[in-house]
Amino acid sequence: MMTDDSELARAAADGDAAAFAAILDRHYAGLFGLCFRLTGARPEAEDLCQDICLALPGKISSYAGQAKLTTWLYRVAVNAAHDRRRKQARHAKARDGWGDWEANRRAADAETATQIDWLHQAMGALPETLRDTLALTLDDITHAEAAEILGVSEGTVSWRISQARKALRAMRTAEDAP
Amino acid sequence: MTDREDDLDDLKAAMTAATPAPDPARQRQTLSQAQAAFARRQAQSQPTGGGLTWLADLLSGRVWAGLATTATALIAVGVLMLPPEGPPAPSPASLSAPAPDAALQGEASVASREGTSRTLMATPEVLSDTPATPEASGDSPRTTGDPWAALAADLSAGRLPSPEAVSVRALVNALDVPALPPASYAVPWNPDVRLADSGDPSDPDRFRLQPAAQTAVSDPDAWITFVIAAAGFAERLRLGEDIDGWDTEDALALAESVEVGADQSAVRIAMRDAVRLLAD
Repeated sequence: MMTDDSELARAAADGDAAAFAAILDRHYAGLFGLCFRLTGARPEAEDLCQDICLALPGKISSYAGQAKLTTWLYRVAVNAAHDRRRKQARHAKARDGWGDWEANRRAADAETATQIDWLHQAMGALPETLRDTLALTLDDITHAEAAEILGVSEGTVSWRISQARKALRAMRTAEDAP
Repeated sequence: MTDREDDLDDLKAAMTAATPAPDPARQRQTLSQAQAAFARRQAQSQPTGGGLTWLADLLSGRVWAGLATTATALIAVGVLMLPPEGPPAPSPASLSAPAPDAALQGEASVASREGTSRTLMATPEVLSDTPATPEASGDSPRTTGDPWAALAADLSAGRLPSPEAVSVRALVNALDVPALPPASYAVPWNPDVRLADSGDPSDPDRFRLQPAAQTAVSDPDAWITFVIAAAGFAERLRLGEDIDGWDTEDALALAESVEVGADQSAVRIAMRDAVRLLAD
């Protein structure tokens, strides 16, 4: 039984359906989580995740094995999220990511709902590049890996995080002001 | 919220609390669809197999197109040794099919479109020295609206044309564009290719895609922008999927970004209809 991601990916690229299924099983939940953090809305995340999974049969052969499979997969996801936003914006149907939080807080208890309100307010106020960077790093993805996924330098990721931190601090100060 | 030194901690905690688990039913559905797509893709990429490969090629028209245009392919007639009860002889129409298209598009349909699109798109369909056939180039830019109407009819019936059936040359030369100074223009989906315009509306092969190095580039006017949008849409159909970031909606946006003159033969309306159908 294959356990290594790269081995599974190579087998899937060679046409092994069981290996492809194993990759999906293993990474669907993580992929969905990232899709949620990129979009801020469950229905959007489900749709984005579906788009990515349905595109994977055509993309898996381009996985060269140099990066971790999750790095490659998350890069596919970030690119798919960008494409989806671009298309939605063109159709004037876009909700700005992290703009629709009602569905997310509906089932939450009061304390969690407050937390989620703040999350949506904060994420919605950040520029897209910072949001996407946080979507990765808030899930314990290292700055180096986030840089590889986003196609930027590690320094750029660190700079974006510092910008996000500043923005959050400014928001908090504004909230606390009388 | 509690007052913490680092708001990122709060944000991370909130993100963790907000992130839902995937819906199991939707997950099952998506995984099932993805596995079916994987199986279809594998089936399509399998060689037809041993002695039947020639039959698949014959049925797909690749061999006939090759016979019509290359001397080397004539030798293949002897090699193939068609059985007496084999497929019927090719019709004149199939013999005059656009050979460069057939060769390139056959490859495009077999190869992984994701992995090879850049290679393929660097070789536009009109680079062959083989002269365009009337079928490939369109009879007249003033009278040939059929390629777009046929395409729109296919799409409205829920059918995608096969890549082999798409000829960029036929489609762009069907657009009735007035006389313009000869020039060549950049295209947004491939920096290595230009749209060359002879400028002559009576030229049935007026518009061509050529390697970038052949001619200079100038700024397109509204008509040419529309032709570029049409060529890009046709390329996207011919290569099967998005071309390095260029997709159907880009073609539609470009086509709709310009206002062009009267469309007596309604070809441009048919073109927009076709793009909209695929974009929806």
